[in-house]
Amino acid sequence: MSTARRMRALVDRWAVPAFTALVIGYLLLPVAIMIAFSFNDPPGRFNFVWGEFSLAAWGNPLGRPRLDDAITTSLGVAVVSTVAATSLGTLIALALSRYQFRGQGATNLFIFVPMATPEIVLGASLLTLFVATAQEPLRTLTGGALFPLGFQTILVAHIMFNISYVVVTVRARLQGFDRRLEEAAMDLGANEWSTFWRVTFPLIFPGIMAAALLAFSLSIDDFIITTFTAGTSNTFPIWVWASIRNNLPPQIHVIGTIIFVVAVGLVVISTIVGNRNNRAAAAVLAPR
Amino acid sequence: MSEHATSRIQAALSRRRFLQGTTLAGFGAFLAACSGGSSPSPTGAASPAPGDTTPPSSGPQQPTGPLNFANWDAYVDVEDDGVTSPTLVEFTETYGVEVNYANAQIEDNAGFVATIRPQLQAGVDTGWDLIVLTDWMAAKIVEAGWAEKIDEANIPDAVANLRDELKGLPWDPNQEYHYPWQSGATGIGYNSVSTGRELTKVADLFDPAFATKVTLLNEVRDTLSLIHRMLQAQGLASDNPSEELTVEDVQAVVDYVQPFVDSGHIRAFTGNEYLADFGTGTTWAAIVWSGDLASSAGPDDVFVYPEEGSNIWTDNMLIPKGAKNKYTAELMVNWVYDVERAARLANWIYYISPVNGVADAITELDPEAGDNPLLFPPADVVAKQHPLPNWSEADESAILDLFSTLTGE
Amino acid sequence: MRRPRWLIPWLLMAPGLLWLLAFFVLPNLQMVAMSLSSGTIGTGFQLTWEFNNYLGAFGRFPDNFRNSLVYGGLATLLTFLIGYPLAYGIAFRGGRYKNLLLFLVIAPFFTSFLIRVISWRIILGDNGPIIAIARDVLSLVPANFSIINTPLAVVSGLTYQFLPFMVLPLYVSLEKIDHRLIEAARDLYAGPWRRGGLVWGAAGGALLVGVLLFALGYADPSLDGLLGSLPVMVVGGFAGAGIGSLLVSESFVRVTFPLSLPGVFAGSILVFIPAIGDFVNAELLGNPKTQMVGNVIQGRFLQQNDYPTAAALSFILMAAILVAIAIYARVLGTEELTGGRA
Repeated sequence: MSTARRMRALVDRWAVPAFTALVIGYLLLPVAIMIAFSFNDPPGRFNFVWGEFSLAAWGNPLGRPRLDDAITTSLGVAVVSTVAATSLGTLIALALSRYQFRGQGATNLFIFVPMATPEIVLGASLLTLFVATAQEPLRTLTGGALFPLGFQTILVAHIMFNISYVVVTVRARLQGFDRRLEEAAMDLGANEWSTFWRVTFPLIFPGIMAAALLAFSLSIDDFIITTFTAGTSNTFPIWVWASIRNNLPPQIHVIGTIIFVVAVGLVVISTIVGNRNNRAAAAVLAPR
Repeated sequence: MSEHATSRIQAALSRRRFLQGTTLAGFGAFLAACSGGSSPSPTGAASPAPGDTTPPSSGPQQPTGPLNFANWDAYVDVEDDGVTSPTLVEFTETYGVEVNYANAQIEDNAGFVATIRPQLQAGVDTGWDLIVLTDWMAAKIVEAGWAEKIDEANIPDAVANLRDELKGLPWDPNQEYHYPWQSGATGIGYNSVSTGRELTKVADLFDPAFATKVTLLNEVRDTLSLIHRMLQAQGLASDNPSEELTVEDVQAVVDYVQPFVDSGHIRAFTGNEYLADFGTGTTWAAIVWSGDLASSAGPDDVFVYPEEGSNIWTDNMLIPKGAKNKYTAELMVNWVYDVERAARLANWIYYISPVNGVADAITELDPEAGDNPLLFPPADVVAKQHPLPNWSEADESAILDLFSTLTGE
Repeated sequence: MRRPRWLIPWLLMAPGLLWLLAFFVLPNLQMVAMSLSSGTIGTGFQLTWEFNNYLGAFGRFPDNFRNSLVYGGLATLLTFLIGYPLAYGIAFRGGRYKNLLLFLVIAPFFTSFLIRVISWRIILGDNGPIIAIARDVLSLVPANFSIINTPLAVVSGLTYQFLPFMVLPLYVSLEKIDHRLIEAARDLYAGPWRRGGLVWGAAGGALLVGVLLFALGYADPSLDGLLGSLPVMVVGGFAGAGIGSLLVSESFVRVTFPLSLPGVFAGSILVFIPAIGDFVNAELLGNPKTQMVGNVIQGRFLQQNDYPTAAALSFILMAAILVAIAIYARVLGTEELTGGRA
């Protein structure tokens, strides 16, 4: 009986972590291939097939025409749209989850509609809008900022589709948020503003960071909507797509690897910093 | 309308070109700085009348710049740094005009034209001086009156060196609006180890031994015309040449191919993923483009010009209506038709050059390239090569609908 | 300074909602007009109140709609089955590495999606590792078995692509659960989910295998097909029973899982919606018979310039999605939908 129990305990202990490792491995398989192929010198124009090990692409990661433009644009759009969409979306999430008001249900559903819309429709409809702003009267209304297409139009589109995802993510965090903490703070004399910044915000911060990370990922990887709204600019996904007709250079894999490694590095750092903070906070907030 | 933003983009791009350390003679740099700074005049450049505006030829013209040149990816030679192009650098050194070469600006004919259609329809400068479009889209642009007439006096090399096979196209019979940049062929590709035998005809794709291992191109014009000619060889189709495919012809093709698609014999309609599929053994034989196999074939991959005749498609240089630097664009058209330069380009791009005499000139750069049939199709192949069809709008709708029943979309 | 109470939420939402109004509602109204227009890109589109566009669109592409629903549904189911244990593992066993593990879940987004799909083409190719193992080493499949360009490849692609969308909401939901509740549950319901696990696991396993076989086209929807797939279903049943009775604890079933339902629903919706509108996976991994509605929409928009039909199809798709969401909302309350109060 005790062997069975010990076996069960073993299974209990290791089944879930083993499965987790397996799935993470599955998720990272194409990433591993990408990293591997960044060290490849392909026999032809297309980095599909292993040729021989080479550091050439790493020595010259931007060695393709207009690749640097594409990357700068991608990163710029991602950063700005993340900040904007996270701010706008968090405000909406706060409003929807902490207040009761008429139209709440409708707004709830409305937030979902952009996520329900096929990306092609989002892109095509924005393109028609932007082209329409080339004519009066929309021209003076928008100051001609939305035509011709470029960085700013990509930005507009990315902020638009990111808002809904931010709202959903932050709301999930806000649910079950203990309002008594806020009430306690306000009983102690804090006004709404400082209550928000000193009590609420730090506690929902993980949710906001998760939303920001999601928004950043969606923005940097977006292809369909960006195709319609980019005009003469390029983002990295579009650059890749544009080159595939004639070649698939290893630089693509190199850039992807760099982005991945930098992002992992940031997360690792924030984990270490966060752990240190958590321990300090736990010491302070220990009950009794 | 868009001039301000366009000039900002142009200025930024020209600054970047400048800073990329291309070796410029002092005089050239001075001229480039001057012309880079000049903003295009507000509406003066627009030629609103969609008709004939033959620019004044003769007289010493000065090339203006920078030249805004949009092209597909990997279509111009580059140095080892992967970024600077000898051909373009030498152009700048010779004429003292910067070239804003927008590499991979064009990744899809329809997609690119969608970005300039509003301007063309409004009769305003598109911001581009030189663009490169595939035959059928170039035809539409020319037929819509959206291309500038090219002044022959400015392009003596081009006129002299253009291969005869590429002349006399129905949509521009007198070579007034376009000049080919480079061509490619569509034919049959197969992996000799997987198939175990030689393939020579389009009909070989339908060999029952290859069930589920065959793919066709999702490019409608290529696939339909090749199959049509295959059916003609078997006496199952009309006598229309493939460049004049009618809706009835397409119906016959679709009727023939549909059972093979339903049974899974033809596994998919692909773009150039077939390269990866040959490598993984997923595809044994397919309709393929010559350029991919010329530059990137695996050791067992073979390209064949089918007996029923292959397709030749061309990406063509056009000067859009209202281009500000038309003369410079013409100079560029002429520039790449110099035989030595064309050979250098062809040696890098590895497609079929439109310039006569490249086969000999290229042997100095790469002795084997001159004999490569994928770059220089032999005369008997050329005799059976057909350009891609171009359709009226009504026909095109119907044909695309029929094709989509095959591809399932 | 005394603002009326009801104004505050609207003030908070104003910037975001205005942005959505200008750049989502407005353009889509134009699209609605387009869906009721007729004409061609050459002659221009005129608003002719052509309601026929909708009827025609719906009638011409029934297979594509069916494919979208089936593959999207399967992808949702599979992402749930794979994603739930993953989210559970990160939330309860992740410890200090939670953030890192979560990031690794999103990591695929940081590669170009083209690279991802090409990588899968290579992995799933006929001479690739997966087939090699299944065919040569384990002899599970016949010699001419192929994954690429089958519904299996499309569903695999969709599952892979949308797994993070399922995992993240599940994680958020699970992580919030008060651990004292779980401890209490463990005290009350110690041990594995023996009886229930056996029955439900067996039934679930067999059913899952059956559904997969039929939906992916490996078994005909007929009596013969059913009989032919019975052996595999039995295997699935055993596997399900094993997992259910040994690995699932009773406290999980009675306490943890119900508390995580908001995350389950949020994740399901976040996967199902984009999955049925997707076209990349069907285009690059599928064949002509597996094309989804998204492919038709893309083809009509970009290749055939048939904007009215494309717009009509898009709105039919959106309508179907919104109906599904509305049903969810009815059953659960709109709060539930967006992760609001349970």
